[in-house]
Amino acid sequence: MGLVARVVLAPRVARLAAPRAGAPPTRGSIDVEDREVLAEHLHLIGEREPHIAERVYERLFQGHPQLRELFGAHAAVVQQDMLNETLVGAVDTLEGMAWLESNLQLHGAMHVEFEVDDEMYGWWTEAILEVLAEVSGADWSPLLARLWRERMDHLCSLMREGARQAGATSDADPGSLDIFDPAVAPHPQPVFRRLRERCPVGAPGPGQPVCVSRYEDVVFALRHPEIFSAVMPVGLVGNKRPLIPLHVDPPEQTKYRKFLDPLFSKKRVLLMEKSVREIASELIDAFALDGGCEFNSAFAIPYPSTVFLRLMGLPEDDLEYFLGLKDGIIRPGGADPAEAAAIREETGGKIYAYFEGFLDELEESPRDDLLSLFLSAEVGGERMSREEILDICFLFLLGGLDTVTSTLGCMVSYLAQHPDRRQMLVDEPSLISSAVEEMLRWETPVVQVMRTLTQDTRIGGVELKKGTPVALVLGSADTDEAQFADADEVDFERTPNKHLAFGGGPHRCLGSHLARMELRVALEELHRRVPEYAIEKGETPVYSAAIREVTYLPLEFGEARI
Amino acid sequence: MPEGKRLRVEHDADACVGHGRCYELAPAVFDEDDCGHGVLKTASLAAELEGQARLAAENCPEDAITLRSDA
Repeated sequence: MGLVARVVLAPRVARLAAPRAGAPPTRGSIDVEDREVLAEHLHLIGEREPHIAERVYERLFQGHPQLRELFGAHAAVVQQDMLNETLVGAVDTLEGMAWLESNLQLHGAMHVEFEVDDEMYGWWTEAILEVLAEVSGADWSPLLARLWRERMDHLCSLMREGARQAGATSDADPGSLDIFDPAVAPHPQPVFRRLRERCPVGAPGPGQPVCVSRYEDVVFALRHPEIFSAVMPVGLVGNKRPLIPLHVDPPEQTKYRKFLDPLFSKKRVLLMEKSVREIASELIDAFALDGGCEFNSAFAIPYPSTVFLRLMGLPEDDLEYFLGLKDGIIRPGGADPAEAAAIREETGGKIYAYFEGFLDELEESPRDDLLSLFLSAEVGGERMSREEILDICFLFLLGGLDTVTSTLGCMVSYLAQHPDRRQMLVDEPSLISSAVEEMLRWETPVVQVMRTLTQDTRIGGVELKKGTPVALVLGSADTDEAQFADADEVDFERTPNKHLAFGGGPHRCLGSHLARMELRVALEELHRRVPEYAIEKGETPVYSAAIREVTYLPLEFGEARI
Repeated sequence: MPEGKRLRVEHDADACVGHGRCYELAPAVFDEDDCGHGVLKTASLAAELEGQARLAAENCPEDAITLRSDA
């Protein structure tokens, strides 16, 4: 006998009122015969499975682990009692309906606050029908299935109505948990907070992957690739083989990182600083005296891309073609997912072909650049195959261009909207390094990274099955109050600041030192040359989701310095 | 400060993945190896280096740095 009181169905069923003859039909009422069928069935259920409510919730949470947290706001016994009341009320005619009308509409209104969506009503219905059918065994019939479904549909419509009314009278935030919605991309931090509070491990919406959103859980997953594998199905980004080293786990991944890490170490990266500063300066020259610019196309896109081409030893004239390739993978467009996949595949083919052609040339006449080095270098004791080199190049193209573009856009957009912070960087350029760290934390432009479970695992109190794709929401981890004091404050001198904008564990962003240098140099040059800027009057920046690129960032300048 | 009460700094090389925060924030205590991973310049800290070492420890995203008082 457990210490916790368990809620049983029978006493409620006993209260089922006999139908009164001649009672006026109410909305959603059922005819007398159907009611008798259901009432009798409910008595049977009450006898066979007193704890049916407990079982329904177990079923619901099993299928949708994220709901456990949502329902956790109320004690289980209260929930179960409510469910019993609802089942009985559903087959009652008058009193029951009156109870339902008021309570379920109230419930629906509460659901708005708790961010229960339409989809969840469906899950709830299915869980109840499944358990009813199981408990009934041979007594389950098509008639019962139909009648119960009708009853449940009616209950759901009552709750939806309550939700609608509540929504109509409240100007509160609709309370979305959808971190993938482009509408939340400009300011995702409140959505992250709701996600951590209501659904720290679970799918935030229909068709979305399980999201892990608390710092503690994210950091654990990042540090344990043997459980949270970075290996992805081939083809998701138009690739024919795994991208190296991102889609390869240790120990194999280690040999690639041992080769690549030194090429992207801070020491190595600082050797490029002068040349990177020149690129930044030239780009700023082109718009500094124009009184304003669209920052994404004028700077955030061409800057890291030009750095990348120079680093790899690729012709700078190929910039436009390169950007087209990158966008064909990251933002393929297309009418539907199938078309997007086709565009990605086609673009992927072009990427392999582009690098293949270039590598052929370099094989003939090697030069002093990264690609030539790839051709001659030994990795794990042997030369890399042509395929391995191509798989690294493919990843560099995706990782090296878009991420710095997006990060820079997010940072400049933030500064354009916070003149006091912008002024701090103008007055005290030595603050830029730590400001970059804090804006990386606050903006975390790469919102999430994907992993796949190699085994059944429990994380954040939720059981997940082997093979489950999981999104580690870096953006949410980086604004988690449990990890960061005053997490919603942007503090350019914050310490500690163990943000995860570059991920963590063995897959820590290979380009993080390059990115940091590029970001620091860009902000140094920009604030030296264009100390005063703001979002152009009457305009609004536009953000894309997932990787938060500020695709439209119209700036107007104060006085520029030549 | 007497020699015996110096702080010791420990760096867990297995946990380090090369974020590089330590040698950025505590250049007198940490250096970088060829892979960009942190390496200790000195384990036993002179008093004036304690601040840097603490900064490195509390900003390491892998929690790979520990400060201990020497016995």
